[in-house]
Amino acid sequence: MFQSPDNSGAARGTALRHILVVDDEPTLRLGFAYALTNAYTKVETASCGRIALDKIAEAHFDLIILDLRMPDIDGIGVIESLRRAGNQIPIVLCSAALTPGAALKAIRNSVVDFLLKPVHPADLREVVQFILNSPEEPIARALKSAREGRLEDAVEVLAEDQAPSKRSSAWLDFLKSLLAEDRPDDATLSDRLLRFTLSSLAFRAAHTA
Amino acid sequence: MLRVRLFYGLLTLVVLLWAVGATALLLMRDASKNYERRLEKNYNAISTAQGIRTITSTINSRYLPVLAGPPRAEGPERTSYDTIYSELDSRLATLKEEASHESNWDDAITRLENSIQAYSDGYEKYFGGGVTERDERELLLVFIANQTQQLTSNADTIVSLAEEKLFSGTRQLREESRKDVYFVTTLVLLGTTIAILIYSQLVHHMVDPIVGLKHSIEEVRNGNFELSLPTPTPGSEFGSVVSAFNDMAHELRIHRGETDEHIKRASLVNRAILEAIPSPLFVLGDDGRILQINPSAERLTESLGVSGRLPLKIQKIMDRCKEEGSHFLPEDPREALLFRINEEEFFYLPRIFRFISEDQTRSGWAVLLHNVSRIRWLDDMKTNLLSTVSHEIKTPLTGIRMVLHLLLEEKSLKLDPMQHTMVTSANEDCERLLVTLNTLLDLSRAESGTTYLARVPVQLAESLNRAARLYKSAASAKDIVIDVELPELELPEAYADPLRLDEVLNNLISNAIKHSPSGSTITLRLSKPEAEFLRVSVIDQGDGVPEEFQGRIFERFFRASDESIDGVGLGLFISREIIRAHEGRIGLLDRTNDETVFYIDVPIA
Repeated sequence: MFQSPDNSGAARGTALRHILVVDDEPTLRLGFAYALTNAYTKVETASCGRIALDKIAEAHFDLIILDLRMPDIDGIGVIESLRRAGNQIPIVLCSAALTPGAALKAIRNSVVDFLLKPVHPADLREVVQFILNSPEEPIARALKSAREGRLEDAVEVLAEDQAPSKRSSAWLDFLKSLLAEDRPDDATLSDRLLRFTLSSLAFRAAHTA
Repeated sequence: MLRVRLFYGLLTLVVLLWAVGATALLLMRDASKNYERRLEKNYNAISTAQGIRTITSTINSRYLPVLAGPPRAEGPERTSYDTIYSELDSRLATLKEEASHESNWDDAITRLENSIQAYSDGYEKYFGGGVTERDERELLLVFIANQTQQLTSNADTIVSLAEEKLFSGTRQLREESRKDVYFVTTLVLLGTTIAILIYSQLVHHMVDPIVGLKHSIEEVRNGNFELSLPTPTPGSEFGSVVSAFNDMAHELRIHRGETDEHIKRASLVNRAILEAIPSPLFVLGDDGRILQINPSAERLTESLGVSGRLPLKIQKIMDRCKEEGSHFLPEDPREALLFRINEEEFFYLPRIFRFISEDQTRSGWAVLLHNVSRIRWLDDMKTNLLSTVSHEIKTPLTGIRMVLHLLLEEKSLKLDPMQHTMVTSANEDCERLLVTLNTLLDLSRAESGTTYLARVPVQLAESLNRAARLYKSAASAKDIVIDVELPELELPEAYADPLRLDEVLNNLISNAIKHSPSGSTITLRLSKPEAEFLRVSVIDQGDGVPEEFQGRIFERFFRASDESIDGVGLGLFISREIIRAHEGRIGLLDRTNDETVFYIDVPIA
């Protein structure tokens, strides 16, 4: 289903993508880089939050695959730092243990794509495809709006979905409650996040969903 | 010797009684004899003296008319006179016989004798025949009449003297009898005195010791063994009783001394044990009253502000134990109750058990609060460590897995068969390791998550509907219908951590779906079986839990042998932990109507 790394990009005539993989785990960085690298995808890696921020400052990236738990600046720290700087780059938050608090902070900062470790190479490739190629299915469109900070639009799109998947109804319920809360306090929202189970919000490749 | 004394005393009394009786009888007989004699004597004198008058008048009536008449030729006939006169003489003799030494009586007798002599002289003159003349006869008649009168008057004197003597005798008798009365009275008084003496002796020697004994027995009964009875005079019948009593009191004293000593020692040991036990300990009577608490329990109740009483949570369990008559001996520190003392959390595991004395007569309850805060802390540490280590291992493992997957994709390089076999094997090990790590994480989550609950009022009806919605698609995949049965009346809210509660519900429902045959129905029922709990029943029509496993299904990693159903066997364990942390109940009901019923009881808000 995927092109081989060497020639498919040219065949599709797609511009070269730059992806930054940030993870403190060397093998995982290596694996991610190998899994994603192909003719039209260039992958750079960073072993911690600080190096990641430095690299982002120096070069342009289309997507960041960000580990949550890191020794110096963690995933949320990197996200908040980037958004404060006005950088709205799409980010995939990748973690073995996503906490409700972290997930809520991420969503507030327009990070709506979560990958749960251990990650299958196919999942990784698909989430990149899902974000960068923006398929036409409602969930993809909704999350695209959410990524751009338009949560109301996302709810609208999801509500119109005729055949909602488990993931899309989970997102709809969650976003509704997030918007409905007048002045939501984090504890209540975290509870809701957990109630709909984080795994439901996370990205799932077609073959595992 | 009281017996001898009593004998002599009573003997005296009897003798006295006899003496009084005999004396009285003698005196009475003497007096009556005396009286009789006097009466006889005087009566004789009186009748004799009175007889004299009759005789003179008989003589006079015979002869005086003759004397007064004309003198007759023949001499007066004197035969009848002699006969009658001899009578007079004999009477006089009788009177004389009654001689007394009283002069007036003797005088009267002499005068009577003289007058009789004079009277007889008159008649002798008449019979002598010398008196023939009328004048002389008349003179003689007058003389005789005078003498007769004289005689009569003398006889009367005698009568009156005799009468007087009779009266004086009676007087004398009366005086004598008065003396007798004095004498008898004196004797009776003497007897009475002796009787009183005997009585007082009797009281002193018999009643007093008995009364004293009675007092002493009462004192002993009241627990005063210190007194002893005074030793009675030697030889007393009470001697043995008193010494026996004193011996008894002495033995009791010694015995009590020993018992006291024993009790003191026992109570000392008791206190030492109680004080040595670091856990708060309450000893309660059968009625639930607190009999004794140890210093640790005093401190605990003081800091909880329920000085000297059982904390409410414990009291509730205690009440249940009393009602059911059962012990409450949980082993699991997770069943410990939380107490907040000065912002600090303490976990106490209550252990309540009933004790019965060896002779089965007394019983009570002991409540031991085992402080498991440290154990809980260590348990938390272990859980955290488990979690941390699992995460630390899982993180690099995900990297390894990633690389292995990439190799197996063989996108950039082809593996030869041997390499492929090795990488496949490594990948399988890696997957297995990941499953194990996930299980460990689930476990640590179950153990840590249940300790800290965010409990709020929860509408269970909403929770049920939400869970039914969540599993609708999974159920319909097996052609199973999920039915929610709510009571008509609105029930109160439950007091629970909503997330944890959902977790339990989800677990029960997903279990039900796993074990239900396709085309069946799963029922979620909400009810209120008792005042303090709301019950959610999850009912499926599957084959149920085999009987031999029913006791173990809530254990860690327990799985019924049916390997066709996936899962690690932690779901029910985690559910039980969560419900236990809520102080609720979870269980499996006996199978009825081919239905399997799992229930949870959640405390009402």
